[in-house]
Amino acid sequence: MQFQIKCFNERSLESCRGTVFIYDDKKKLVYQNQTNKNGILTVNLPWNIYNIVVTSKWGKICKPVLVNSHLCNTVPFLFTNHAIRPVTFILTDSHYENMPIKEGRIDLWRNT
Amino acid sequence: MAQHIVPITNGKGSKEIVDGLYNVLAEVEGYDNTSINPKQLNITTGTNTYNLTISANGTLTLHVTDDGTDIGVPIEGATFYRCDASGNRYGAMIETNVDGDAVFPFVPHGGTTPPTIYFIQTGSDGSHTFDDSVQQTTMNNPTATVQIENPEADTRNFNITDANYANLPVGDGQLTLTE
Repeated sequence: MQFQIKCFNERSLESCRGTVFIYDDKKKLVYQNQTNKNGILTVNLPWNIYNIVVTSKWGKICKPVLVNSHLCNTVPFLFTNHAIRPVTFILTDSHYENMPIKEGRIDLWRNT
Repeated sequence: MAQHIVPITNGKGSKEIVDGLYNVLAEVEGYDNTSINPKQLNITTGTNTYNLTISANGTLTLHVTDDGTDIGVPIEGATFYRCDASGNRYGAMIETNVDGDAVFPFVPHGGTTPPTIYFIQTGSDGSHTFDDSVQQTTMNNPTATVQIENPEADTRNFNITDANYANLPVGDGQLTLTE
């Protein structure tokens, strides 16, 4: 049964490379590999219940996955940012020293 | 590329973001969003606060006269600051010129809801009174003039008599009062 594991951040929807460990129902490691840079790894396994562990820069997720004909093509592993510290941005008027901008937003785009 | 939107309220916003080099765009009503500085941020481990600035390009003129109209007698030397709603001052003091004009450059204007511009008067020419409370305006266009009234102060009478001869007025002389 072929399916994909996708590793990404549920808040930013940013994909990332992760390491995938797959254990069978006897807790034996049966597969280990890395996702690509888009967070995707294609796996082909016989029908069974597996415990899948994915680690990424955002942390670690373990969850049981039943591999059978009902399994969706992609199994998502949604990481959160809990392990990442919040970054604070202070926006002031460049001509009036320390005058805070009352309301607005900044957009940050990862420069890859 | 992943996009992170950081809402800014009262000059501050926070978000969980991983290390990396980011391009920065701003969306602030009334300001020139292309003036955001810096335009790239390198977010690194150990630094969790980043300072950015943005500027506007409107010009606000406060025209100060004795009657608050554009044909009143201009008051030279009246002083103003930009401030917030609480009266906290920002930037340099601006003083009216001989035409009674105090000019604030780089103020926000336009947008769906133009930002409120607060200012406060801190002085006049000594013979006119002024409102020292926080005042406000908004600008739909890049330039605007607000009329400010500084009415003439009340006439005060000073009597000077000889200290050793009760009620004996002094003939001619002059008093100088320094604030």
